[in-house]
Amino acid sequence: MNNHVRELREAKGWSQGDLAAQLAVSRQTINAIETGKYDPSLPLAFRIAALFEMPIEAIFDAEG
Amino acid sequence: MWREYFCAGTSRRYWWRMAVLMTLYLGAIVLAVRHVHAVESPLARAAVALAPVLPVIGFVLLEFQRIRVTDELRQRIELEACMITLAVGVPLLLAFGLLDEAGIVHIGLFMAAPIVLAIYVPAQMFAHWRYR
Repeated sequence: MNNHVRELREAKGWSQGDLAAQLAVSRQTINAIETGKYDPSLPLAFRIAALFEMPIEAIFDAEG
Repeated sequence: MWREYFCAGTSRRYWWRMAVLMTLYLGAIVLAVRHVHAVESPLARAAVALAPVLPVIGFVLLEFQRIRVTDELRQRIELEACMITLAVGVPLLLAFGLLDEAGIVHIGLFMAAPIVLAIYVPAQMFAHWRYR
C-alpha cells in the first residue's frame, strides 16, 4: 500500500521522531510506514489522518 | 537503534522487576544444582529441583506485560519472532528427540529451553531487521 506520510510529515517540518511522539508509536514504526515495509492498523491510520486533518484515502492508496 | 529496540516498553519498574527475578533465578539455580541431591524427601527434592521454574514464569509474564504496552509494529515483530522460533524449534527439537531415541545423540530435556531461547533471540533480531 502506497502512502504520502513522508511528504506530509516533511511539509509540516517534523522529524520521524516528532511524528512518532505525536502518534505514540516508535520512530521505527514511522520509518517502516514511510518506506512501505509496514501497513498501519486501521486505528493508527485514523490517528495519522486526524493528525494531518485529511481523509484516510488521501494519505493511503490501496492500489499501490 | 538496538537500544531503542531492546528497551521498547521498558520502565524503571520493569528493570527493577527484572533484577529481582534474575536474583531469584540465580539463587534458585545455585540451590537446585548444589543441594538437590542432599534433600531426602522426594517431594522436597522436586520442589528444590523445580525452584528455578518460578522466576522463569515471572520472566515470561514480565515480557508479556512489556510487549502489551509496545506499539503495533513491535508487537508484529514479536509475533514474527515467535513464528520463526516455532518453525525452527519444533522440527529441531523433534529431530533431537528422534536422534536421542535412536541412540545417536543424547541431549537432556533441560536443554530444550536454552535451545528455544537460542533460536528466539536471533529470530527477534531478524524480524527487527526486516522492518528497519
